[in-house]
Amino acid sequence: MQLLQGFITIANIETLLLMIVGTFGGLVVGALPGLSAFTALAIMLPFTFGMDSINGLCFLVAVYVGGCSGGLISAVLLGIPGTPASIATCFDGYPMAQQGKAKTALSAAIISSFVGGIFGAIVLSFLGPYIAKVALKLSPYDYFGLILFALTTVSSLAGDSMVRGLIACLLGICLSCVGTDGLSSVYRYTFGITKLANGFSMIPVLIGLFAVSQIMANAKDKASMKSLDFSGTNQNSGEVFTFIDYLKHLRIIIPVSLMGLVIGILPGLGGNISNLMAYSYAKNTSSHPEDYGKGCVEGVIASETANNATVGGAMIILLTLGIPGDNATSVILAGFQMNDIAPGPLLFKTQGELVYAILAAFVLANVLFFLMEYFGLPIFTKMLSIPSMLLLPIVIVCCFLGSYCANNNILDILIMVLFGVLGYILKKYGFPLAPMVVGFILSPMLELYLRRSLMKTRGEWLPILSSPVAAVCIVLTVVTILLTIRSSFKKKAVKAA
Amino acid sequence: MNKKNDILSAAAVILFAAAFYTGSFQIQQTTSDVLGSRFFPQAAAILLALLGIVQIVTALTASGKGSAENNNTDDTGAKKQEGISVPFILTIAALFAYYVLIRLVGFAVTSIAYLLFESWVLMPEEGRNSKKMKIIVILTSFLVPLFLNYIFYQIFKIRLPQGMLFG
Repeated sequence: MQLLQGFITIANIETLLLMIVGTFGGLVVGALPGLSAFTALAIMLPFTFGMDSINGLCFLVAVYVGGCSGGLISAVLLGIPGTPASIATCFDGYPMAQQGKAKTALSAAIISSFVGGIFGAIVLSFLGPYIAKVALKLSPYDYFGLILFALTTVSSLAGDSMVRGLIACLLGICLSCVGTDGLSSVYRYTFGITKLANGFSMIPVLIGLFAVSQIMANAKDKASMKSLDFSGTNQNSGEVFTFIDYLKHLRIIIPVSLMGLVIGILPGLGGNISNLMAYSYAKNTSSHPEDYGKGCVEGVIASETANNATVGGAMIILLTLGIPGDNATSVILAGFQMNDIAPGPLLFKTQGELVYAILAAFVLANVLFFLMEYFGLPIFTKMLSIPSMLLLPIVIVCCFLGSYCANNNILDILIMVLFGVLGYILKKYGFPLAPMVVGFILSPMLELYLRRSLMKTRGEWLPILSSPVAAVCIVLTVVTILLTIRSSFKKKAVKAA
Repeated sequence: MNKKNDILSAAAVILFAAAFYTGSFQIQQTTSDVLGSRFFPQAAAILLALLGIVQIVTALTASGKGSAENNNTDDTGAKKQEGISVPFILTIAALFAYYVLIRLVGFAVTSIAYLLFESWVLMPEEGRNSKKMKIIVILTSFLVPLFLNYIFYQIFKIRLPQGMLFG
């Protein structure tokens, strides 16, 4: 019923037009190799400064959904994933295109993305309010445990080395200490610069770390600036894959949808992991695993269903707990903050209209991208042939704009560039960026809840463990660390053998 | 990652942690809560330094032969990629120049100059010789900033920086 109210809220020309533009923009950027849903959000974010909160956030959700779904086009036609969430789509999608079944692969991928996205949206709509109700009853101890667990998961699972993941996370925590201390209001590490009193703004930090560092990396490899070559494939070859054909693969669809959703809920994983895990699940449980990698439609279905279901999972944890699961949801979190809205359990109570409008927008964005991709494929393939050397500088100009508009502060442009350089250096030395961003965003909350908890317990640490949720989270944190250490030892043993 | 890079990056992390820890003594100590305002930065700095040490120890104790082989391969690979890349340096210089120029001449002029320059830097050799490509780059470089300026000013009512010279 409340979801219906959400649809009524967004049923006006302005919001619908913005969503169409957002989904289309997300699809175009997501389809371009090297640019992800995050880049799409970074480019579009400045345009939300002049919008009201409902229009702005619905627009960002549409961009996010479009950005996550655009990657399949280049994955199938070029064998290059448009986004990391479409890596597994290449494994079978591209061989299918080479065999003259491009249309079959594309329609299967589009239907799979749609079903995965709608599944995530429905679960989010029904589960979100219940999770928020439970989250409202959580104490500062519980939040401290939850955030600690989220930070450890991100650090352990992003990248190859847990130590480097934790270092990146702690660097993010250190950088978030700059500004005014939330509890005592004293300045920390501001070096007398009054504009740093509020700390580093999230938008220039995010854009710098991810987008600016990317253009630096691309500048080093000028070969990637050429136009893309479609000569090996023809998008119009092969039969159309229908919904009826899709439903014949329920054996895969149900488990990979659930897998994608759960991976989305866990912070730090996201579509980049879910598509690969779903692919290996489908292959390992198949009666004909030898066909995978040679043009098996099940591989495309598994990858695309899972990566779009992940979006719903990531939105669940963002809306109900205020924890961003990946870099793209961090930008949506920034969108909330720009409107002075804090996502979390109270959001469902205090901003019900906005929440259900976002949920409705999420469902609608899935329908929109399906219609656009299904009927407008030639447009997207045409756009893929635009050379990156024209697009990337425009992306950066939009990033400059986004950083400036966040606070109308030119200093933020410098901060964005400096964080871009930092992001480039960190990536060069193998430090993953996701833990740094999540550490930067969640650390103020971690500190606040820890200090509040200790105020409540008068400095005693043990009572924190008396709360079941906090205790479970802290135990899970320790288990995650131990499991990651064990798995790295195993990897070393295999390498040595 | 090769051993040298691991040790180098870990040393940088330890140095940063030491500076961050020392800097925490400049923070006014508060007594409004048990931990105070210095605790969190100090704890983060200590953990950071410890992890830096762990990374150095891990790099140094990485198993003998296999790792030596890896190091050799990595070093060769790294050397291949390490050559000074002119587009890379020009791209970084352009990013900093953007910050300086936007204060002087504002968003539209700076963005036009930036787009022209960066597109030229990233353009492959065959593109630079193509008249069609040159026209596309010039048109894009002028139209995009003017379009953005128009949208922000006319539709969103947000005034983008005009610069000291034009403001």
